[in-house]
Amino acid sequence: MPLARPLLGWLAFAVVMCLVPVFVSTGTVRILVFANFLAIFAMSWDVISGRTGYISFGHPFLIGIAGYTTAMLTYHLDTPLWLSIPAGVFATLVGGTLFLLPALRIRGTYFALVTLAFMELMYQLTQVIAPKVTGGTRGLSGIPTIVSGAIPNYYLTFGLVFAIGLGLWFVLRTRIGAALAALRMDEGAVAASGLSTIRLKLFAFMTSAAVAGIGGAFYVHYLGSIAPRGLFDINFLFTILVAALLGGSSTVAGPILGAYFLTFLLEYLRPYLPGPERYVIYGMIALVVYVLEPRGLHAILRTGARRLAPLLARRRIAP
Amino acid sequence: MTNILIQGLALSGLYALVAVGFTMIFSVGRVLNLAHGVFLMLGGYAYYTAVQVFGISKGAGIAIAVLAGAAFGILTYTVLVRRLEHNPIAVEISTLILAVVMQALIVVVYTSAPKSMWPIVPGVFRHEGVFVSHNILAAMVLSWIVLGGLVVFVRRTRLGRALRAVSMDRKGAVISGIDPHRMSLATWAISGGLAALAGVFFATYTQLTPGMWVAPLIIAVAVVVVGGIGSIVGSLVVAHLIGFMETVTTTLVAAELRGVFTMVLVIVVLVIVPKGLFGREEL
Amino acid sequence: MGRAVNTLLELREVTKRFGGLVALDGLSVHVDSGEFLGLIGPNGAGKTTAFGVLTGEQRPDSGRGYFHGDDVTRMPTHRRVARGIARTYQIPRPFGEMTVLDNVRVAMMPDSVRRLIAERPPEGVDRELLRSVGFGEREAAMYPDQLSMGELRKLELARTLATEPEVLLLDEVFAGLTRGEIAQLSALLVAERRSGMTAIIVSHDLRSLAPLVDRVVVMSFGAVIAEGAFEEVLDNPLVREAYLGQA
Repeated sequence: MPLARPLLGWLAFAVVMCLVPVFVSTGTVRILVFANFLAIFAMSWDVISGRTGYISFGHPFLIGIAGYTTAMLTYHLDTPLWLSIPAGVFATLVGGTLFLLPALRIRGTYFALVTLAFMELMYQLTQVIAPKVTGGTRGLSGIPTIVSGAIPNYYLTFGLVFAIGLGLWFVLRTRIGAALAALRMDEGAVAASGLSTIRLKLFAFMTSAAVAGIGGAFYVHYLGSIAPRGLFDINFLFTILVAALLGGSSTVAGPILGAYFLTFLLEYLRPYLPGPERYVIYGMIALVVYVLEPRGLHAILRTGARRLAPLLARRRIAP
Repeated sequence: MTNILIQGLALSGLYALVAVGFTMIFSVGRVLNLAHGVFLMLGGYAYYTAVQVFGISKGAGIAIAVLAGAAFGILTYTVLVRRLEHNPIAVEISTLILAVVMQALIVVVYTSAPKSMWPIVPGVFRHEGVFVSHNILAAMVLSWIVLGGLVVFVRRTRLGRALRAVSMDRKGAVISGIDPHRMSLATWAISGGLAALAGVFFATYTQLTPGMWVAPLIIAVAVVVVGGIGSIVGSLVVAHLIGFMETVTTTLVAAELRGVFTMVLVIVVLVIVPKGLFGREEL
Repeated sequence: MGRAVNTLLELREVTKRFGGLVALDGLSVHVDSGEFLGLIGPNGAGKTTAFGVLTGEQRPDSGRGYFHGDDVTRMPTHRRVARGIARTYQIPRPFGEMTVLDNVRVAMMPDSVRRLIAERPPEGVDRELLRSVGFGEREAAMYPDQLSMGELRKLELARTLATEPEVLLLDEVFAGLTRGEIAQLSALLVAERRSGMTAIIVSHDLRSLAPLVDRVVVMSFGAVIAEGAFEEVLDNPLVREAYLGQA
């Protein structure tokens, strides 16, 4: 498979994104930091849901495990970050196996609902069980940050996006990517091809959990605080899900694209719609794009590019 | 003890009413409507606007809420769900997005400040240390009437039997001349109306806020999942199981823990008996 | 030929119920190494369920399955496939969003996440497999929804062959095919038979099945009612009754 073109794409992406802070205001850079986190979460969601078709309605659960683990370790025990962040990611991996448990028997709607229940359970538990440790309803604040200032944080988070994105791209372009796609299409036929569906699911879930964990841990150390409200929240889930779907699920570039698009859509609507109407328009756009093209912006851009370049027209491009 | 019994019964009745429309849509169309909580919320806000803003009578307010819910159900089905019906996951995702959009719309119209609803039936029932608001008792009685009526409707009327036929065997129903899309449309209208009705009582029980749709959605999911998705009787039993569990937890253990058991129940049931405690039945 | 006869795949006293329905009622059936066995019987006799139990897709309520004399009753499907049991489906189940070539490539994959990531796919084997069932470059690039039923059945066969099986379980291979397609597929199966493959073939098309198989087993209501050479089995009054009884 020709590697040069996509690698050039990744390089161009890195160059452009590294130059961005030079040209835009600090305010925009701050927004981009959030877009970067959203991109990480959306990539993580896509590994489970876009690739294998196991729709997760509980991704904030995974993100929250890492966030709370590292927050509690640093807040109560002054654990250094180089230890607490990996601990958070590890805890998320354990949480990911909790997702695997129902996935052994159920899929589709039922799986989505279990994961939603996990998120709701976590929302209630963090408030009720040992509020002294978790900070209860108000959460924990004054958690140490890694770097300060918009621009250092931007480079840190973009570095994460780039490393995770490139890593996922390299792994998922191998045969494992095709195997996961096959899992989405017909699990029985995958088993009949001699592949262990459990092992494939475990791989997808662990990869997704690891990415969610990394994102969640760094997110908490960027915000400097954590609280159940806003985290274990359907609106947060909605943003992640829409970023991945809008960008284009089952691709690596899609969720990143979707995250930036969503974040900037919201920002660029601000001058015209300063009030809460913005969120209505933003949601409507997401809904319309999803209903008209469930494969997302990635597919729309691809189709557009294909129309422009008739040479490409005859090739069907595998994501 | 009597207190737990009465409060549990009342809460369970309310929950059954919350869940019943959700069950119907799954049973007939095999899709989950994650905007169900929004249907309730719309009912609550419609009633609030009619009665507390425009001063219309309570009865008319309820009627307006039910009509608004039914209209929104029809709209959701024709604009959104019908295009995606072949893909249940797409329906779930798009109704979830719809819910978030509607939440934002409510903020635009009513601001995010919570609104207090006046009780529909004021007063409190007091008897030997038992305190229950008349309002929730009314919700309970109403839910019994509605659910009873629904069972009669499904078993006795032509439309009801057609709905049942579609829920049991879609292909068979099509062969015998039933149009499944019209059945789905009817279901969404009924479900929307029932949800709005439940919403009026749910809002008086809690509060009107733009985020209030999540709790009833979770309840509907829990009732339907644990009861066996699509079974009215199963849903009814589980609404009582959850209602009583919450009441017992609130009064005897700790009020904050009441939601925890519901979620644990959902997870355990889905993992161990994915078909629900009562299996899948027709309506 | 003087080939040493040994049992390759076997079900012993297998019972499988679905709710109140008894799909398999103490079924015992076996296929010898290098043998082509025809499995016939009226609709609902339990043929497809027998395949499900043989591949591990369905767990029997009682009874055991053996492969090479080893008890495989509790072995999961993918491990049975890896050991050499492969099946096709009555209704073909290709991966719909993948090309024909990619479909075969999935079937060729090793069952190891590490190897899937680290190793390059073997060159040329995929196309060779497609050629062996009569697919050229044009078909390789097509999607399943562009294929005829005959081509879909050939794709199913190519996918099972890609798992390097010792025994093929072919479910209703001739259903929905034209005369020409049946002839093509039969030729492929004859070639497999010559090269020493073992197979169990389920078919309602007895005329097409007859020249392919060494022996037939007739099932009715989840049990064997007759077995032997084709001609003698069809003369068996029990078999006639089972077939005519349903008409």
